[in-house]
Amino acid sequence: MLDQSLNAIVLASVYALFGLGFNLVLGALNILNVAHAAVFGAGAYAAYWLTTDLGLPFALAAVLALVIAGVLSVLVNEIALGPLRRRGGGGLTPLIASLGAAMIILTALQLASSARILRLPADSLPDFSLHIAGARLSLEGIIAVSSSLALVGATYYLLHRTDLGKAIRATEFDENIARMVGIPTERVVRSTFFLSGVLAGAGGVVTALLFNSVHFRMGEPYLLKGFVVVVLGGFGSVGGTILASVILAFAEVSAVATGIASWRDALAFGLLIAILLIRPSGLFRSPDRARA
Amino acid sequence: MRRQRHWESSSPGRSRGYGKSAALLLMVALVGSACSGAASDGTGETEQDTTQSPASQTGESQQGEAETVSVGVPLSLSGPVAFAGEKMRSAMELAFDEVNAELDEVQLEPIFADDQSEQTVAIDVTTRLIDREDVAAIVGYTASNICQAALPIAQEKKTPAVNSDCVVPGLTDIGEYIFSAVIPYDQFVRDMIGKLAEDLSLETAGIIYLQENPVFENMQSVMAEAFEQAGVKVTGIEAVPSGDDADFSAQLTELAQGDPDALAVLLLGGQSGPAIDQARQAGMTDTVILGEQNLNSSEVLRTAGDAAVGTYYPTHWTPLADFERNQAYIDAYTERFGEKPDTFATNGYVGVHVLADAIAEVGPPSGYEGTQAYRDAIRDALASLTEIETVFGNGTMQMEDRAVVIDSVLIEVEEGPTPTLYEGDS
Repeated sequence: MLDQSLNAIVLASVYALFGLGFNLVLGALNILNVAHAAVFGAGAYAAYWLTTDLGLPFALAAVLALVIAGVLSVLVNEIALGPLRRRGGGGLTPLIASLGAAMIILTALQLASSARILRLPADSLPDFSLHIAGARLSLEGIIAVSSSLALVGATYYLLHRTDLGKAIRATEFDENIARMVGIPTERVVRSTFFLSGVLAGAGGVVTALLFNSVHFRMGEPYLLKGFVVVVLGGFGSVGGTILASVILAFAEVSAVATGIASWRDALAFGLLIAILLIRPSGLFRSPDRARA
Repeated sequence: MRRQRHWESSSPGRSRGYGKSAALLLMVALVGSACSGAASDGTGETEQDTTQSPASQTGESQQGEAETVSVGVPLSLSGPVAFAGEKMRSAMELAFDEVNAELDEVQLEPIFADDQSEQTVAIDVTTRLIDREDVAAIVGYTASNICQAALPIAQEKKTPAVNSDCVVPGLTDIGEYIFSAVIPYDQFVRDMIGKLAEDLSLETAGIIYLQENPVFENMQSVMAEAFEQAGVKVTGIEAVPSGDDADFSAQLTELAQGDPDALAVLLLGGQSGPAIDQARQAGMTDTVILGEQNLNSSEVLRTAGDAAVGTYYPTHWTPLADFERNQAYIDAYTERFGEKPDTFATNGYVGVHVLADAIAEVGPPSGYEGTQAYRDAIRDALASLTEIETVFGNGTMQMEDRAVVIDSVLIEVEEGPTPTLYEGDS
């Protein structure tokens, strides 16, 4: 049982990294940025490329991969989403634009990887695992959990203790009002996308480590899960994202552990429906602050 | 060399040696095309030569000597099984070139099409190849669920189709126009389990399988039955819901609790390597890994790394078979693509040669009254093929009930990881 609990905690770490970045853009700009999943894969591929082709140490490659993912996310905004937003494009338009951006990134990744499953060098990390009461937590799992905690904590601090965080939250509340009171909203949006990309990239790198697999479509399964996390946790809520990630991961692992793996996704989405029936605005978001 | 046509998809395409620079160029090009308003029709098809009339199937070649025969080649070039589809396309390009170099009266023009690993797209692609491109025959398909969806279309439209990679049972039952250049692995797997249970003294086994794939859904019950018959107790069967999944830790943790002597891994090739590695991480360090065609790939061994040592699988093709035709194929493929072929590539390669053997028997289309008569002639020729020279098995195979008959060998993965022929205790 402890083994499966550790599996769930590690899985929750990935969901939290993915979901928080997803939530930042959705919460701040009301944009369902589906290119987030492609950025997730790009982060993993960047780490692979930097370690394998350029021979950089894994730790340095991982940090650079996060920066690359952040920059890529900013480019998605600058090229695909920003111009639309400035021209007042609403409704489904940004969703379609982000879908287009996702396809471009995925195509580039597929060409670069020849659609192959790649793996980080075997010596990226030392062979180490922690044994707790008969259960085993690998070094990859430890890194996943600790990096997730660190990045989520840093994001929480940034959002609630810094001027940039206040500006992001003001923009989230109402971009026009934020602009009227002198907040440089374009710069804030750019920062939001960068942070979102860094979190996605971190999720990608951690996933590549955990599951020994880098693939151009590796972010896609997390897209729907990320959406579940955002809706469950509440738009723009860091705490809600964490709690929702833990609930979702434990629900999925429990499905496998109880012999109903076939119902894993159905269980996760059934849970989503059940919680939304009780709290339509999510777990951590008060109804009056929830955006459409 | 005959030209080849390609249906490009709106989803990711393929690479061929231009790697990362091409990726960057493509990004720029795609952005440019988006800005200029150019767009596909949204049906997975963009610019292509659709001006050729149906009669082009019987048209003369550019040299004025041989007649051109269009052959539809649907493959999964994007989506979850793109890794296999890409390999197949490489080997099929090689095979078409080899065939055209040998044929005098006809030249085969392959029309590649991406089914995006989606059943609905595969149906659409097959329909278009037959109705719009007026192909004389079809060879290809990458995944069994795709075959199940698309082959009935070929049968309905009375177009001979050679399945070259789908191993789910029952495909040739679809109808008389459907042929298989590969066969289900059920018996191969039974033989393997019977032999290894005795040689390795297996007592317990677990199975992890991809639930959404009909081959693995079928194979998990075949394996469970084979284990029981061999006196091996099945301690757990765990399903993986999606071919997109990369995290098998929860399933493998459950299976590890049964401390199995053997673990059957029935997942897509792209999932199998990471799954084997995760199985070792889950504590199954000395567990024997068993599989079927999915494991016979350099990609699987590469992604599994040292974790693959102690893996066994039956195969109908191995680069270890040293007869001349097989080694010539391996050399040609390696020289052209810079890497050795795997089973997926070889299946595609053999499929083209099987179809080409039939077309060589039939001759040029001008000798027949219309497209359907020519398709029927190819169908009849396929059905009557005997003693086909191939790179499978020991170098020859027969067509029986519209499916090839071949033998298998058992492979053991040793340090390296290196696949070797398993001779066993006996």
